[in-house]
Amino acid sequence: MPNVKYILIGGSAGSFKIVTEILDSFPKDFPFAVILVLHRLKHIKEGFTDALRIKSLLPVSEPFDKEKILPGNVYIVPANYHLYIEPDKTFALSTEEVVNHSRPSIDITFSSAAFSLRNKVAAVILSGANNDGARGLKDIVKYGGTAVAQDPQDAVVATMPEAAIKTSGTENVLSSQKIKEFLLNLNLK
Amino acid sequence: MQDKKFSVSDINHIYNELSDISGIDFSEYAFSFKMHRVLLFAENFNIPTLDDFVYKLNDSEVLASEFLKFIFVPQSEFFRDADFWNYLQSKLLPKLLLKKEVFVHFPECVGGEDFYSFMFFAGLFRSSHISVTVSFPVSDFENKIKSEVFEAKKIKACLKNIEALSGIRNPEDVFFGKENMFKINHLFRGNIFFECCDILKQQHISKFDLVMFRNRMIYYDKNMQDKVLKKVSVSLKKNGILVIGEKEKLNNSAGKFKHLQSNLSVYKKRFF
Repeated sequence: MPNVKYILIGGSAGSFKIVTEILDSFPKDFPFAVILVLHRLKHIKEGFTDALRIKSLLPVSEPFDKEKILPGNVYIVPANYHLYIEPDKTFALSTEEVVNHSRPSIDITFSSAAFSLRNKVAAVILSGANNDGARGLKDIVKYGGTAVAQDPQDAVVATMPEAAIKTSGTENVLSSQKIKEFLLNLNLK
Repeated sequence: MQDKKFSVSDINHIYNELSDISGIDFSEYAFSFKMHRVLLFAENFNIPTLDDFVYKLNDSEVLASEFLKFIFVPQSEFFRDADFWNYLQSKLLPKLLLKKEVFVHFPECVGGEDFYSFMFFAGLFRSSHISVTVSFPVSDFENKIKSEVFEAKKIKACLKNIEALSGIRNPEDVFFGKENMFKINHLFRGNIFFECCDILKQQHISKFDLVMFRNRMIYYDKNMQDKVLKKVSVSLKKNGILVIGEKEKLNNSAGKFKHLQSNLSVYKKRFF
């Protein structure tokens, strides 16, 4: 198993509960940078990040453009922006057109992270009702990263993990409980 | 093309070719954004490989022009920035419009949305002493920008937002028309000026009271952002106001700007 430094989590409808459970499971000295790409209402800025902050021992923030990605932090993509990961390990924001009816688009963040972070990234696709993230997870595999999808039978809405599994070919198909264990033990395997 | 692996130099090669064709230097644009635009454009136009991409760029002026326009992102989402609307309406404009003449600049403009959103609020004050300069980076944009600025094509879709968030019910203060076709009121039309310019090469003089520069710098790398900000700063009068996107940060190491509102990216130039 490579020396993973970055964890990406993409989710949409039905994913919020498991995201909070995953954050809740991370210890205070968790050494990874965690980047959450969650579909959310475009015009609601308040509340979402606060709700995640309550569940996390790690600092949770919405990154600014060109902010450096630091270990031990949880970043959530701001509403109505796409978020790229740059090769110099900084964030870059964009207001380009929606992708898969979504901004933020999971595909955009995952694909740029695949290219920029290579085998240093583990990416997870959770419950959701469209195909966003499938192409991004495929890029994660293509560039040597670790790809995980929630078991569709375990997901509130199966469409997104099903598409991700089919498109990326990942064999890491795990229940929400197993995903937590997988992420907690990433570099131990 | 999505199945292939790319390198940084593969992508930069395409932009170097485009720079040779267009005269615009893309070397300091954000890399991942550039890569995404190449892959998306290739998909839209069924271009199978990067070699084909380079060949077509050099072979077809039309395709090169289309790609050039494709790189610049017109969406600004001003219509969803309710916090800034409120600030503009209740604080910024009332103060600015106390001046005899107000000079406003929209640099690097590639769509009309920010402009006509702004004009809604300017129109609320029935002010005809606002002079607006709209600058765009590529001459190919001229007709598109003029059309979007004057005709405000997306307004119909935004009316509900405008009413819900600001309480404005009479777009006719600024625009006239019916159904989906709106045009900007002649009262304002004579005070709008257009220019095609390279923001880094242009000689700027300090003439603007307000520079609206929301979500344009996010497509540059950090180095380019700093260079562009210096230029924009020069173009502002003392005490002039700079507005950037809510998730953009100003490099203010020289203390040139005062942050006016903690939850908004609105800054006042303090000195020359």
